[in-house]
Amino acid sequence: MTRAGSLVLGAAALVLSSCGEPEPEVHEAQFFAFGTVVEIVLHGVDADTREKVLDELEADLEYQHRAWHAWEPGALGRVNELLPAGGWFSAGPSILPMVREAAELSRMSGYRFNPAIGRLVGLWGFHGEPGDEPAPPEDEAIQELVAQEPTLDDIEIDNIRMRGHNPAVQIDFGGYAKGTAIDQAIAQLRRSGVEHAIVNMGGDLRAIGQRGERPWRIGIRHPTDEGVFASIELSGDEALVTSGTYERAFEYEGERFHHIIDPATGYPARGLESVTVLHDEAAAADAAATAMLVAGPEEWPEVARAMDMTHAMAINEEGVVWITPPMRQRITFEVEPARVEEVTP
Amino acid sequence: MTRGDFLVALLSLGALPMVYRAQWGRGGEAAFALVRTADATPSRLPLDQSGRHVVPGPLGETIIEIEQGRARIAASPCTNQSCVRAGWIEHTGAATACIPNRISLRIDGHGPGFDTLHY
Repeated sequence: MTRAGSLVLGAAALVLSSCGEPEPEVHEAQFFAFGTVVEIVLHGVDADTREKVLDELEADLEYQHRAWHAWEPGALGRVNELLPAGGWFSAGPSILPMVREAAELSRMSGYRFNPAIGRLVGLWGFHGEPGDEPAPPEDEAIQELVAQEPTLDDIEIDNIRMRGHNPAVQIDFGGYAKGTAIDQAIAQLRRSGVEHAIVNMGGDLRAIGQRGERPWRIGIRHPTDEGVFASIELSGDEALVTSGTYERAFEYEGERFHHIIDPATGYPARGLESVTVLHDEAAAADAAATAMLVAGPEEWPEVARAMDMTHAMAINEEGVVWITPPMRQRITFEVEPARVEEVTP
Repeated sequence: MTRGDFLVALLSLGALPMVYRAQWGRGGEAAFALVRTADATPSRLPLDQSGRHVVPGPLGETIIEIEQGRARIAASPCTNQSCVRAGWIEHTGAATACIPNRISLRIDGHGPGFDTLHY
């Protein structure tokens, strides 16, 4: 055999033998919080630290879920009770920074991401469990709320106090709360010395480090079909967030009504099934993904630009994919989409 | 390099995509229903063995049904029953859950697949 032939065979043997190496230690845990399944994946964490961080994480998520719940008793529930009266009151320490940051993101999105429309979301029946026969609310009731134009700009904050200037304002952070919880979970994991982990909470995910010698591999579920539609590798510190109409919806007389309400119309946003954003923080990515979905197929790139989101992908109900060039470089389609169009915001 | 060396090299390189797919691909053909609860170790139910499995949760018993390579939540004590209405799942990566009863169900394949799934 010649030297070149030996070299090729040696290389092939090396690759094939590496396939049999044992996997680095990876541990998975599952909780239930924020109305969804929470998956934690840890790599290279000893058993004692693992038990401690998982217990802390679960306790934190349960606390945050109660505190940030839009319509059940808790810190945010209390804020929503007091806002309409217009007087000053002290707000919980976790609520104030969320309102400030969400207000800034709301302005950047042209108010397409608008957590102040809690009354509208509740009017559509998306607070609590759906009734036996959910139906759209009366248009008159919808338009009455839309006309009052509630935004987080109607909330004045002074140190630890806040007051409302628009009785129509009710705060519902939606997915932004999950994103914030994930960002705080990652910070907590880092403080505990964890360098390689995934925190995955139903549409919001953030990964730090990597899995041993390779990046974390994430399968992305198709918005309307079963199974994995695309995949992406994450390493370093990256958040992947999807806002999708399939998360909560009801059917009435053959028409589907989902939970992502367009603040400008008062009706569920039309035109896109899902928007996926890659960013370094989950909360900002969630606000952006929601805003882009509300913006629709024509205007989502403008929102991506306004919110500094360079990596984004939007899908409509026909399976057409619009994707920014940087995102196209990162995504591997496991199932060929109906059509893929690159869009530069 | 001789002709024989070239053939061996070509076959070895040709095998690499298959090896890559098997080791790092998307999990392969659906093989198991992975059932997780809040308190217990996950259980893997082979999809080639039809049957009904009782999974206890805080609200009561959820019934997982396996039939002809697919799985579903057949019954659950939750109020909204959306997990039951979700019906059968059968492709690798497909998942459903009964959140109130703290039970999740996902279809996995034989391969190592993905570290987690994003919805």
